[in-house]
Amino acid sequence: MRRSENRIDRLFREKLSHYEAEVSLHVWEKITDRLAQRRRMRLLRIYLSFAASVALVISLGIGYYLGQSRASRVFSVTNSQQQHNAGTLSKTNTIEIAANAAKSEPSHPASHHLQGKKYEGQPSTPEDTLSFDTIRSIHTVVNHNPLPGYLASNPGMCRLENSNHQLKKTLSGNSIQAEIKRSVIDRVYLSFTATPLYSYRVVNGVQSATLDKFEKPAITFSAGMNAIFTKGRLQFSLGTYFTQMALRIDNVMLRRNGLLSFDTYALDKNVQPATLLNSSGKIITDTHEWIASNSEPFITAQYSDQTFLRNDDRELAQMNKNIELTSLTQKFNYLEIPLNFQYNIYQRQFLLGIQAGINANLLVSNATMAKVDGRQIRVGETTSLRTFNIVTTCGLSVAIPFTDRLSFLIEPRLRYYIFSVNRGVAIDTHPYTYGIYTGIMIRY
Amino acid sequence: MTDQLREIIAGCLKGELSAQEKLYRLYAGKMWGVCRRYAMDAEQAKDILQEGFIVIFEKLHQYKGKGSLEGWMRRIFVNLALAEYRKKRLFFYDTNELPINLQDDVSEEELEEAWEFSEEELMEMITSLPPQYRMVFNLYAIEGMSHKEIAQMLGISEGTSKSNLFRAREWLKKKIAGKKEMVQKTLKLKS
Repeated sequence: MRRSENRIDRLFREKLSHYEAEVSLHVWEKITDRLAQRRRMRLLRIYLSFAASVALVISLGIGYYLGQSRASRVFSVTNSQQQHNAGTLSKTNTIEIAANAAKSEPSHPASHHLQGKKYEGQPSTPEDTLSFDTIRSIHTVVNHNPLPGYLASNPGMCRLENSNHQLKKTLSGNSIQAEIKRSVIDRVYLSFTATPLYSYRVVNGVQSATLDKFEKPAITFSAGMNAIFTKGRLQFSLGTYFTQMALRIDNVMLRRNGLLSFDTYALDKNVQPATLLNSSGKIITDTHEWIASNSEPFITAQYSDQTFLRNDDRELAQMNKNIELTSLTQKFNYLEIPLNFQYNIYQRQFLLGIQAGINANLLVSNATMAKVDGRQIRVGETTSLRTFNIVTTCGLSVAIPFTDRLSFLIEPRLRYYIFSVNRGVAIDTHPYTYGIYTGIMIRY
Repeated sequence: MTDQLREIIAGCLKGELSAQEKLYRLYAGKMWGVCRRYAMDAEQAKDILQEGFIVIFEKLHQYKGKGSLEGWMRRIFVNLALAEYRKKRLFFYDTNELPINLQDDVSEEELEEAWEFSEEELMEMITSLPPQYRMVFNLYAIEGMSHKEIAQMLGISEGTSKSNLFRAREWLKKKIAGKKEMVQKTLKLKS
């Protein structure tokens, strides 16, 4: 008996292990189609990343351009009491807005007002921007009123309030030319912020209430930079962010299928983002290498869209040590181009604004992770995902200046995905995230 | 490894379509055999073949030249075929669910004569096996794996693996006997 068994094995091994046959021509055509499709996706991602970078550079350029003079006013500020020596002014000079200011800019209403006024100031070197005290003094003249008290005591806030007057002095004989530039926008800032994100989602569609029961929040992160343009109390920003959003399902049974090595292969099939529910209202998620499902009762396998349950699966789970209960986290990495608007409702010792905006989101990659043997491993990828999404945001912004150019930023923000992250399934998934972005804002 | 193959691999690593096509032409026929043996039908075999070559082109940098390229590729196709099987299987089969007459239907002589069957005829016999038998038989008899390895790969016990192998052999013997009978009937009709 044993001998004949071996002969069967040998017969098939020797006849079939080197079996070779003609393959249909269509197979190669389909392979080239898929290779071309993958190349296109790769190029699209590179292109869009590049486009995001260009958008940022252009926005900074626009900001810089707008920040330049639209209408400049030139006033003469003379040192009327002390002589300067070798380009250096004494420390205790008195600056007088000269009478010729009216000649240089006769149409400017402030020009007449400037004549004969005297202000204390401490300009340093001739080519430098005027000191804070001088700016404050001239600002008082130009705007017909003194600076608010908080600006007088806080140079850092000067950039927030006094920002649409850029003053530059040049030395000419005994006088200092003070050029006042008025801009379409007041100032340009760069901000760098990051946050841990708390991700959750809204599910619409068939059996969404059942599905909701299995959902748990996931923690991810977001980080990036913004170019910020201010005009009075209004502020708008454009930037680039890298944001990860995640969906988590707890109480998932994973069956390790052994042969495939994660170090060797990264197969990309069949983890549904919304997850699928079978007719019993149980979640079932299938990856190439793992079968995952929620327990109670255990789901052992699936065939196409159906799921088959067996009563003795608990026994099976005990027998098979490769089955474990864990949580499954589907992570989606997005490149974001956020456009935000902000209105500052408070501008005193610190700045407080309310903000809202939209983000253009490009899906860069995704991965499904599970905790196995005490570590997070990648068990597959999600298919049927929307590559482009729009995210709405709203939140608060608090800027606390601690030097003339640098502020500390705290921005609690809520984000909501307008389009479902997945497509082609009966359930729509609209994630939302909450995070407190913190970082710095630098005057450009 | 021949210089020609080295050149083809280098071209594939650069993403050259012509090199990829050469590699495909060189191995598609052999890998088609692997896919056929494991797949439920020709359509599934085509899917595995496509998917396998995509994986190979994307992961070729991981082939470090240790062992033959054909062996490395073959493992990828086997892995994919198993993944496809796991995806499609209905449940872990209880071997009692598919009763088979355990009587040995084929004599030693008939088995010797089976060597005259064409490869295509034997392939048809293998593809006619129930999936759980086909997987175990392929892995054990053709790939040369142990029951322990098979049990681990398929998430079944070693006992189930042995039992499935036994039943696969019985199934094939019946097929061989049936084939012989059909051939003899055809000959009689002709004469």
